[in-house]
Amino acid sequence: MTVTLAVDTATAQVGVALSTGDGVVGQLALRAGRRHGETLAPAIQALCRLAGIDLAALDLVAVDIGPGLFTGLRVGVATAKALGSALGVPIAACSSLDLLAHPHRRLGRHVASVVDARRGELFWAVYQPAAEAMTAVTEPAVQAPEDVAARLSEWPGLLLTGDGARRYFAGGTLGNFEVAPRDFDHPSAAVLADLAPSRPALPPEQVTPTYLRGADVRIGWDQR
Amino acid sequence: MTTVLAIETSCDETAAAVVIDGRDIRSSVVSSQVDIHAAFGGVVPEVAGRAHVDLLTPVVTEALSRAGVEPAGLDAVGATIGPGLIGSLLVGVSAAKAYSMAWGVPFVGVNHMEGHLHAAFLEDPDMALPAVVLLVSGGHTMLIHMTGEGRYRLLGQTIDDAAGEAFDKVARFLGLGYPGGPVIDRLAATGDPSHVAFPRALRGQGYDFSFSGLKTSVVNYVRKHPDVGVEDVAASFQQAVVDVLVEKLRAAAAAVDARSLCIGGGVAANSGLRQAVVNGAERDGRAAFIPSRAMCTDNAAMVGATAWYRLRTDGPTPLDAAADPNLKLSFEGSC
Ligand SMILES: [Zn+2]
Repeated sequence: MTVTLAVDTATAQVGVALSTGDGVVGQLALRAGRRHGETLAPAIQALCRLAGIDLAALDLVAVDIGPGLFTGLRVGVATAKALGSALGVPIAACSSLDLLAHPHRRLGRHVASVVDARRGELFWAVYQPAAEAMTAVTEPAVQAPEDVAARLSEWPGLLLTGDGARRYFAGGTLGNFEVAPRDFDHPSAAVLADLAPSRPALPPEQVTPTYLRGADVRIGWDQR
Repeated sequence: MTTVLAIETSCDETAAAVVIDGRDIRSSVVSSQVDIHAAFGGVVPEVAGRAHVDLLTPVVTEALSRAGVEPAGLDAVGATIGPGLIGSLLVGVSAAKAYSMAWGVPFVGVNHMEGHLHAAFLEDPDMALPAVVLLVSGGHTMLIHMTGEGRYRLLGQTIDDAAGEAFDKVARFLGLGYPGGPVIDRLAATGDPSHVAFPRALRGQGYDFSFSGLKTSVVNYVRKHPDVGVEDVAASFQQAVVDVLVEKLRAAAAAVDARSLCIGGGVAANSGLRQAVVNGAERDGRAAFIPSRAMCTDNAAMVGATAWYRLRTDGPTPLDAAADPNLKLSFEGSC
């Protein structure tokens, strides 16, 4: 029986979930805005207490490594790495785009995961259906909404999911795309807890966020 | 006996330390990102945040192993919670909260500037008080009257650039690369400090500082005298900075009748400043406390010392505490 703590902070939501051999036994999701750093640790503590599971009992820490909001990712990945290192347990790293696609695997349709990257861009990838785990048929990319729309039109009958899909494609101005219900706008920590045991278990020091975008290296000397 | 694991990630040093009872440094590991940022000519916040994520876990593991301390032997986890770069602070604070939850020990958020104030105590617990402390770094220039541990009063601070910022900007203008402090210090050693009479701003006018005009003077002078030796410019610039810092430090010490003069922060590693503070203190009949260079620049041992003190006075910090890039040092009205 593997006891897993799953941590997701890749979007405006902070999610934590606990799973045991009986599946997911508890989860907590908060719309955190930019308050990931304030909410994640108390959420982990509250969930463990309510579920009656001590952190010392963990066998695995699972973390959403993005792509997503850099600030949120840093909080989640730094927390997961420290927990794994402190408890001597490995980390299962999972892409936010994989997590968004997974709940739709039984629909028999291609699914595009679309995450709001802010600054007028989107992180996205297209997945093909499969009974157990969906597989990506494009490399994860970051592009402007118009360019993403042009690419997505290559897959007829595509279902879009994610907060980026909600923001740019639900209104129909960028083309006639179907967007999954609001419940699926953010990656789910429960899905992450489910998927984690099937992912490679990494030593904490090897886990790093997926940024997909080079660091903004402007120092702003004019303002200094 | 209280054993604290401390973490510091407020700027571009990823650091961890194990400190017992706020004084006994069992290990202090600093992984500098300076080589990464040198290519950009300054600390790039997003680059720093990314590097902290990759470096922190190994640095903490190294600090524990060098100290020979098992997690079960720890009593608290401290981390710098501000001021600093938000993307950098968040990494250390998030990790520290996680370590504290995993090991079931209190989390203690530490003010980085209070950490610098504690650095002197780490090396000399017998520092005679009251003291006037000059905190000078890339982000701060402050004169602080210290009457006891945790008892401070702000006497003055910069009204524009920090002293360290002036070093970086002048070095950048002179094409000397980043960071500016060490290279200007090195060049100044062979230059003539009286070659150019750069302005000493706010001289004799209280305890506030101003360095933006000095930078402009250097730029104007070098444009007008393109053949001037860079060593002479470096020496003259450094002398102007040191003169103002030490004059105000000595004047403040006289005004509050301090027993000691003390310095801290990255610029306190400057050899011209260190020598001038020692000389000035001797002339005034006061003691000078000059921490080692490693204790002046950012490190986690000073955070561990402060965390121990704050844990005793304020208790643990709640896990929903926010990293605060603009955190102020809380000063007493008078002391
Ligand atoms: Zn500092």
